[in-house]
Amino acid sequence: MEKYQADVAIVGAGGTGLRAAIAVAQADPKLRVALISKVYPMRSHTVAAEGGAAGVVRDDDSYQKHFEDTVAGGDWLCEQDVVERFVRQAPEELYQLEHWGCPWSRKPDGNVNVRRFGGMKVPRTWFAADKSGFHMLHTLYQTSVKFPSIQRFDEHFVLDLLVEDGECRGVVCYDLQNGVFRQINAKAVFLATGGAGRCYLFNTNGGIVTGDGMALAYRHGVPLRDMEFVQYHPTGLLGCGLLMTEGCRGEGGVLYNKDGYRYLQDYGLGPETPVGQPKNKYMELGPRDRLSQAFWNESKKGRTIKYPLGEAVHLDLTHLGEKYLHERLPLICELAQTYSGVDPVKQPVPVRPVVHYTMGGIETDGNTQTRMPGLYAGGECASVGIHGANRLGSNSLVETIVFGKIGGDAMAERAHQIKDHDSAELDRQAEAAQARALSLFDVKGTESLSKIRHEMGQTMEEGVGIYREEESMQKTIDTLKELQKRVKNVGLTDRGRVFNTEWMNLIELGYTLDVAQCMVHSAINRKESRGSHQRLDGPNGAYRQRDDENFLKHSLAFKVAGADEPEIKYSDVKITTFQPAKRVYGAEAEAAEAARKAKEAK
Amino acid sequence: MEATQKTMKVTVLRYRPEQDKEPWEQTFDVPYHKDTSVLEALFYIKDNFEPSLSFRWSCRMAVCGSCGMMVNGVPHLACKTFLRDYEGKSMKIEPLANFPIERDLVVDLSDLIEKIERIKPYIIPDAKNANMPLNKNFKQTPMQMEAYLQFAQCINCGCCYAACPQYKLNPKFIGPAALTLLYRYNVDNRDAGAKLRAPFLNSEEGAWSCTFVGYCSEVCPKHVDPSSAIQLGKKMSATDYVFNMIKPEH
Amino acid sequence: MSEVKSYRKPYNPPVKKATWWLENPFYVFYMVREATAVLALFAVLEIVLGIFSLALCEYSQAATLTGISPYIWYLQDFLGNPVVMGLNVVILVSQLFHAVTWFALMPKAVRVFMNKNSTELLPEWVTKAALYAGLIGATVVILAVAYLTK
Repeated sequence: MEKYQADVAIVGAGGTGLRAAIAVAQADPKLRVALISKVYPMRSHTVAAEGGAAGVVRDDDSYQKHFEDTVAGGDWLCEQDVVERFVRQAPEELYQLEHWGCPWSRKPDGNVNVRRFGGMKVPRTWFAADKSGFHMLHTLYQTSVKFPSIQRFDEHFVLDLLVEDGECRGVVCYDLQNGVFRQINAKAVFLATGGAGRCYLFNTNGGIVTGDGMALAYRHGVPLRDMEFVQYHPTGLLGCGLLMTEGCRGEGGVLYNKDGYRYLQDYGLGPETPVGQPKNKYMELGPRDRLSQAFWNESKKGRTIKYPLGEAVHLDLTHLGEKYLHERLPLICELAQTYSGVDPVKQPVPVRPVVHYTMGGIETDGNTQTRMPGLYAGGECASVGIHGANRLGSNSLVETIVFGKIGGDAMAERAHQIKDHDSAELDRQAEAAQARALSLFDVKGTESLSKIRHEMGQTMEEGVGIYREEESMQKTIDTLKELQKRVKNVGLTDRGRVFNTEWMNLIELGYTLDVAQCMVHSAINRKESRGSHQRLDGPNGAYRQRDDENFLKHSLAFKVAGADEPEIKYSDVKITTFQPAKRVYGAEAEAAEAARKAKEAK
Repeated sequence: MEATQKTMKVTVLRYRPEQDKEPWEQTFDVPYHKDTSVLEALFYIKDNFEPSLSFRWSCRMAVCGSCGMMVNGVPHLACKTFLRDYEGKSMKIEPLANFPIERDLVVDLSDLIEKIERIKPYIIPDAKNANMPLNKNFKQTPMQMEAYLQFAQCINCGCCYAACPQYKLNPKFIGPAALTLLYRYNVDNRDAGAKLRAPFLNSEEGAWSCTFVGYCSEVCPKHVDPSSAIQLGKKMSATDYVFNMIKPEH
Repeated sequence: MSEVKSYRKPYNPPVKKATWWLENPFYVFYMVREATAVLALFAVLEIVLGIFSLALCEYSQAATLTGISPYIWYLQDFLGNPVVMGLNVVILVSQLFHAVTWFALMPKAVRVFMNKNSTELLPEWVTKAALYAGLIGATVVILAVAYLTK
């Protein structure tokens, strides 16, 4: 097998991976960076992020406010020391992107503008119209071209990690174009492979978002943390599920049910704010979990709008006017028109909640270091600890660059401390990974890859959706166990080596199934409601409440050798200054804050 | 869902490098409704008839640039092209023209990528701004941004190269997307690197290889209008030339 | 990186060097526009021939028709020839076609803002209107000169 010796191997070339690669290259141009991605960098799913990235810049804002919004938004399941560091480092990373050419939208005076976003007290979301992720990704990709020490392995699919003496030493990957395997040895390996939205049928995610890196780490004994927290974005386009950014509501868009009533005021987000005067943390600018849950309740009450493609509510932007919409939300206008036949300038857009983001991921510390020396993780595939039980919109784009940078610096340091390592054992592992992958061609089974994928998506929607119950979750657990058996019996029809997407999809499905199992097992064991994990069951409905006594903890999903299901354990949550309190929005939040201030004044 | 499910004859160009000497055609009956995209038609084929059919895709929302291909001879994004617009006709899907066919609908894009990276697609600040602190942004008014923003919308899908007859006849031509990107950085007020990019713009393979056919702009799924950027690039190149004649030192 | 075995065998579709433009109506349209240049060349040769015929005239015997017989031949036998007349009509139409399609493209080469503080670009119709005004203006001037000097 062809072998390549790197100092740092980065898996995934989206926002996080590219930022990390640049950080390593800047730390020391002599370090050899292998940037491995199963697609060309600009195809990575960072490209689809729309709304923007949060960073404190306004005079009426502060790190403390961003910190509090984030921790409360995450229902106190955040690592508070990591959040503190995160909010402080966010602005400089955003300025860094500006210096590299990112076209952040501007104020007339030429300085960067910010917009409102859900769950954020002060407008602090930097945006590039509604193509923020696209512009960030292209800026990072194009900037990375400057650094000759970054050797890209585009369209290389990672099959396994190389681990010797408990330390991560590299990866094995498959070159899709040439049809050959490559062994890449490295002193540090960084997983930046994105989320796992493809566990679900109805999602905003691209086809590549299959949880590869999470499964790779999990299979090597690194736990996946807080996997039960899966974010439903409240406004996905009906039918296809494409994202209608939260920026729509940040700019003043409102949600109506079938009676033309702004139903969010019934769910602790009111009182109603006048149309055209959005107010932070009120109504449509509440957090995503609350809005998605409100939809579910409206549906139960029969107050949603029935379309041939399913139920929806209306996202109304018409009052914003054509000029403003085309300037601030051009992509939204294009997407609604193309995929829904609706012109947002003239008509409300039918939307519904759709799976969007995995809050959990590979457990890391605040330096992106996992519990396996040499293995790092960042971005959506990691659980570095800033999102808790519910991510606030525009915290994830900035997470990619903040923790890309932190991870890159940490890996550069490690690369200086240790020497190149190669061994017969690594070769053996690489050969074994190759043999395992090739053995899939020998399966003579009759199962269908697409059927299994579909059934997985279906059972995840049914068992671990917006609201959850023991019984349906158990059914999902059983189904997934069954699917794990069936997936071993998929017979491939394509025996080619060049761009064999059937074969790659099968390996991806294996990754996704592992991650799906971690999600539902973590969910069934968390007997409370917190953030995006909402239960309806328990004795006298006890699990409907947050239970800090028993569950102010991270869940950890471990792979157990020989077992076909994950084992769930728990770890403590780091709380520094912000003690858990009731999570409130709208007028209730203002009352709570007034009470707190009065108490402090005494 | 729909009672009257319509079907369309969809022909796909196949090429399996390890088996086939040259490409061949395979036709499928694909059911569709008013929202079925070409990409979804390909999903249907892959899931139901021909799992070995290879094509690139990801975002489904016309922003990742993976799924550029020829539909009835015209470059399109598969995810942004709908069967309803071909009603009553048949459909032929082929890999992007003017690139080597790697396998089925997958082409070798390495030439496109190399050209995008060749033209120094990043901000090259002048000495005064090289070390701007990270708590400060460059001033850029909305108008200064507007000067380049349209040309920063390129998703690198390759449709413009498939549309360009000059690239077809002379593969050395730097081509629409890369020249557009070059222009995008040259007119960004944060950038001072135009001089370093001039050799690419002015070269034989640069802007002057373009004969303003304009088809690239016609097919661009993001309305970037590369032919406009190239004509503006020619102006820049000509000004540069005259300027250099008058003032050979600089 | 040492290149090891590859399973690649990319297929390069043959390029039809002579007939590529027949593959697509847009290319045909483009080629027709370019081809009008050939007709423009004919018009140029026509004018050159006219100038030569003037040069061949004997001006010392100013008033005699035989002296300027080359020019009379040019006017009556050449330009008056029905084939040439027909051809000139075709040339006029083709050059108008060229002008119209070229003007339609020209706004792409013009990117000017409305004013110093505006993000709005000069609308395309302004560029086109300027070009048409130029065309009509030039035509009027030429016709006027022709009329006044007859």
